[in-house]
Amino acid sequence: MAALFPSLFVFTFILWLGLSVWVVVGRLVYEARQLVQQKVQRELEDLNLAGLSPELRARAVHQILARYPRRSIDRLVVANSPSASVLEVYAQHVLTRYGLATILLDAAGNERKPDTWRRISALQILTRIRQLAVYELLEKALLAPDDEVVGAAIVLLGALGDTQAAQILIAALRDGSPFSSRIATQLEHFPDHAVRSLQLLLSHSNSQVRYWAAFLLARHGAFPGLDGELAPLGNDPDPHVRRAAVQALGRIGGPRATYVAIKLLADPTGYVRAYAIRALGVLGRTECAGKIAALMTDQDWWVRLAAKETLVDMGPRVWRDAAAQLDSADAFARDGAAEVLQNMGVLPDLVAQADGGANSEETFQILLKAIEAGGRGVLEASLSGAEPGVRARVEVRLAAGNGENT
Amino acid sequence: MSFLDIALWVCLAYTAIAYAFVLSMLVFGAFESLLRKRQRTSMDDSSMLSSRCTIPVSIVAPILNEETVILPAVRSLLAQNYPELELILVDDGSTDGTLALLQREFGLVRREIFYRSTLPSAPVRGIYRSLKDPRLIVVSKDNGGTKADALNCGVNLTKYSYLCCVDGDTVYESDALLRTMTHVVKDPATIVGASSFFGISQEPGSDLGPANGKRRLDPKALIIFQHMDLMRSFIASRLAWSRLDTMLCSSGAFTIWRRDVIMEMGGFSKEFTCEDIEMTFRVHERYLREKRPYRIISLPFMVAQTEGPDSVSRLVSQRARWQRVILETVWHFRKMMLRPTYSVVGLIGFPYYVFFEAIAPFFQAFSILVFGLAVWLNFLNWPIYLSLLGTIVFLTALPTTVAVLLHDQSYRDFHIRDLVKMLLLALLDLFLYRPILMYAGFKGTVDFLKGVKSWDKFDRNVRSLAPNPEKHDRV
Repeated sequence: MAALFPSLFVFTFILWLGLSVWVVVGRLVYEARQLVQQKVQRELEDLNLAGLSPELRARAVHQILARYPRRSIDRLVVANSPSASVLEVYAQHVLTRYGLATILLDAAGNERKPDTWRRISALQILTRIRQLAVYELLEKALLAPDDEVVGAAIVLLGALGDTQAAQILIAALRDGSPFSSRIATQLEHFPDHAVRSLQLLLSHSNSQVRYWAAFLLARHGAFPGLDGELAPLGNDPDPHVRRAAVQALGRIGGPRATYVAIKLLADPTGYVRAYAIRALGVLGRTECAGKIAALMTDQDWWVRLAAKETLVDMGPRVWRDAAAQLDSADAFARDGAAEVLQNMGVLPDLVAQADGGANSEETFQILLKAIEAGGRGVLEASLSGAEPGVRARVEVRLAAGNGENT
Repeated sequence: MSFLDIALWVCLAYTAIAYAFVLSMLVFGAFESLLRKRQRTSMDDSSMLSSRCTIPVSIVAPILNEETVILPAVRSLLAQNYPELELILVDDGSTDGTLALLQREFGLVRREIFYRSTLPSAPVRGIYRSLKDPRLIVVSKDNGGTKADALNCGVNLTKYSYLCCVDGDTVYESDALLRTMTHVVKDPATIVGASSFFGISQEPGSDLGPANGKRRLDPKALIIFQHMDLMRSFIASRLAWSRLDTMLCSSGAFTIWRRDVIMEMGGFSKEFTCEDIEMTFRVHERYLREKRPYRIISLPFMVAQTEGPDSVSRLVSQRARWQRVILETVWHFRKMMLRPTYSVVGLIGFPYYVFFEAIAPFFQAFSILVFGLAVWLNFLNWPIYLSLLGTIVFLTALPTTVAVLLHDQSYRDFHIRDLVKMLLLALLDLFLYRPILMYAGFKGTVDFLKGVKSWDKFDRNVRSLAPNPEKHDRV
């Protein structure tokens, strides 16, 4: 015991001191490296490299980069956005200094001694300089057993952003990659021409592939005849595919879009009905407002919510369709109708109409039903903004109307 | 062997086991921190920002008498850099000017919203929509006595498949939601809960976000100690628990839950003083018992600043409540203790909570008494006692040192002088800060035994400036 505690004290003191020194020294080293990176960046910008001939440019950049450690340069290139001319020379510099073979080996991954982050780092550098072999390496990385490598490869293919990268990602989707949503997140940003082949996947045997194809094509309405290719998916056996199809059709429009959306208002799956409703809203099909309003009686909460929100989005022109549900036997529908009228902002106009406008009695009855169904919030929404005289008269009538109905 | 001999060995053994545990957690935490740091280099937040695949989130924020901090808090939530979200504030019967402030600032108008009242809560007085920001809904309700009641009320109104439960007195970084959801969506089928580190400030939002690239450490020592306490807890400790899949406390100040899990659990419980740790335990208990795959993770990046009490009495009040919560929870879930059914949670996490959180104040006080007595009766001589004390000082400082190291390696957002300040203050932790926590632990234990359930919210710190929209506007 006599020797143990003093030894423990010394040990813990050294441990604490060592870690504290690590914090401070590590930070100082980091700050110094940041200064180096900023200096390299400034020197490269000062040179006005684009105006130099390729030979002079190469020589100038080599002279600068050769003075600094690899780590500083790697971070500079990966983290910042040097011009294309700098990147081109950087590529030559890195390959000359460290050897293409080393970096390509790192990027290919060592199956016997896998080093995830070294592989990702190598892939990042090769992507940044658009080395020709990177596509094949990234394609191979998509099949790696390490999720981190796969995730990084997906992001790097997205960063490449060209047709070849898109084809690799689409192929991975087609082959049923478990990372489909992350692949889709990247594919969403590719230009139209790069993702045309998605159309071929609309008839794939795997429903998940059809789903993603429909989902992604929603952004590419410029493809001619796309609505015709999506429309048959409205009859797909998989409800997810039907949902993606109607959602896409809502965005791209076309003659068949409305037909499919109306048909899917009667789909057996609740979320398909909900998406069909929203698609009609996006298409602006106000003539379908009556059908949508009727779905405020749907047994599925999310369908009712979609109906309410879509009617509000369609605006005051469809207020009568919403108001028709104030007479529904379904309490949810009556509540929903009142809420829709409130959120449309038409209630103050109804108050003004009820105060001696055209069809004032009919309008008054609608107002009364809305307030009975909607409660105080609807009442306040109705009377807010009304002129004091109008407000007073309507309040009196409402009070009398409520008394007659109780 | 005399009683004092036995007592000495017991205290030494407890101390040795406690610090062995802590040091092990530091190693696991370091590996987890390194993994998260490396993951940052290969993630793509910008694509998520504009993607339709990004899952929308409902933020639920219960509030009660928060007029001094509510505006910066709400602005920070509405300023979240995230493609689709809704914010539901639940005013749990504030008696100050909280609701009036919100009405003025956000153009609130009373509206009806028909929703499914699936989770019971105290009656709703009114619901308000914002004319300035359609994503904002404010619910005014009768006080339900607990934050859980307000949360459940808010959850009833949510429409998205993920909930972010937050506090109304906390100011959030603009990328809090995005950075956390980026990790959640990597495995949405399994990850049911995610939380992250938040800092302490006397005035949340006063130095939120790096200014000139660097955060400003609060000038008050008591606040710095609390900040370091949270750094230790989140970065050195919870990261380790997360790595071992035994994360036992998802903080109510910022946790993202999958909505269906909360609904399956029947909402947050009103039977406990705090709802956050209890919900975490409950999810572990259900999913492990039913052998369903799940994960609750903790992440190391700073998502927010919350108010730390700036006086000892207020700190004691807060920490006594936390001690009460721990005792309520471990007592309620005691059947999980050391049962293989509950895997690492039951075999390691739960015993840790019992021995090194729940009963820690008593063992610490007992150790002080025993060691003092041992020296007085010449069982221990002064050199040995001092070297033992010195060892404990440095062992106590180590978790803070490691937390500072891991945080700085990943984020580099404190000035170097503030790093040195934290490293040196860590040495004083055992003498200046721990006694306060020990006393609070006693108080909390006594309150638990007496059946106290009150929130005991501390009075808000005095603000140096009145709420200033221009200063705190982050839009």
